[in-house]
Amino acid sequence: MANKPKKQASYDLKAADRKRNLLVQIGLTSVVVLFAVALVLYIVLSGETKPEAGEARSVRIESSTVVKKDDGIEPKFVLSVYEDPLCPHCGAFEKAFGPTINKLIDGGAIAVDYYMVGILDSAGNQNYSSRASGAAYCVADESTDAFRRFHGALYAQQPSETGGAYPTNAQLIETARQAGAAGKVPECIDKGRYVEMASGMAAATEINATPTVRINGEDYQYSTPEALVAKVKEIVGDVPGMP
Amino acid sequence: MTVAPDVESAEVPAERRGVRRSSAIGVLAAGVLGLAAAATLTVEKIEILIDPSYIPSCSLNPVLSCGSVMTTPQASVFGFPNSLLGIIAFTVVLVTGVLAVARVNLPRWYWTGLAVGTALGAVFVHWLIFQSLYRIGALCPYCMVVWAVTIPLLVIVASIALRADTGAGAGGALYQWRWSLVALWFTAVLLMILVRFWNYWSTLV
Repeated sequence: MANKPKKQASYDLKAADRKRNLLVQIGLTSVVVLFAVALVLYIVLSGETKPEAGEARSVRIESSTVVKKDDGIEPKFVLSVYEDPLCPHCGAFEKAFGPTINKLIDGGAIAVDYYMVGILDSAGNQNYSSRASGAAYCVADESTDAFRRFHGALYAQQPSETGGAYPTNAQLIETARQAGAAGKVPECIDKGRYVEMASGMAAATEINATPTVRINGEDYQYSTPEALVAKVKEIVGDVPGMP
Repeated sequence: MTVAPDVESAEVPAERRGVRRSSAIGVLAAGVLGLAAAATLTVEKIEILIDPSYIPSCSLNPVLSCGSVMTTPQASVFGFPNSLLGIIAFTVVLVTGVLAVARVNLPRWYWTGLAVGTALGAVFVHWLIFQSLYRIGALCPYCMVVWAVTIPLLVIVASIALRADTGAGAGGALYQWRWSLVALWFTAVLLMILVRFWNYWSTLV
């Protein structure tokens, strides 16, 4: 009998001990687990699929009613346009063909893949070509409608290739905002997420000059918007509301 | 009269390496879950054999897809579907769990044998995890149930088998921190899955 209370007491002490050990253990384990999760998330998120040079992403613009191939998946007419935001010929091309292309897109006749190519980078323009191209991809991530407006604005306010002032990233962000792109776009432009991809785009897509235009993957020598419309009619047929 | 029960309660658990209630239930739960997963996998495998265009119930998206996993060579390493091994092994675990819950005394060599078997299973599971993540590139939910069950089961069975040798030293520390290690193991596997399929997960957000 004399033994019993003593035993009971030592047992209780042990239980308290064990409880404290358990709490320490749970605490330490949680800390390690949280640390590991945070570290991995940080690594994964900060390196978030930053596209490298050599990757060739395009921005696909099409209406929901675009004429499809027989497989019902791919558009029948895909116009690929490779443009540098700074090249004067691209500006001229956009001036001449932009409205027609937009009508063809909206009418559902064609889909357009825009490849933004940075080939005119220089120290003098603070690599404007690639910065603006990359910015366009940032905008496209947010919304393709905003991309169309941003893309139009880039050429409407195109700086001269030779000298002058070149929009800074802050100004590109402002243009993007006016085009209706918010969200992650400012950060994306600021960090130059797509800049490397844009500067490697010419090599990745094997083009020698901008603008380069391809129809369903084949080089197309553009002449006039009317000729382009005729080409579309040849491939797609007559689509209501065509220019 | 007052002394006798005292002695018994102090000595018997150590003597018969008494299986704690929680451990017994743990073994039983592992057996039920593992057997359910292995049985489902086997049934799905048979469905695929009957009709190759059959889409298993666990093919949810490109990453969570047991159809693409079950038809790989890795899913039949020994010439027959791995899930058959699972059915046999988890049946043993299930029965052991029932016996333990019913407080049937099992000899130590039995627990040791089960621990060795579970350890082999754990090695196999790690190989399968590696294959699934980095060679096949898809996850099969039922298989992941087996992964998730095997590791805690190994810890429970091994600590039952080794109960007597849990003093101080490295072994004691290992024993004391066993559930932390399990938690870290789960974290590691989940993070590997997260990183491996990040491109896919990020499109879901």
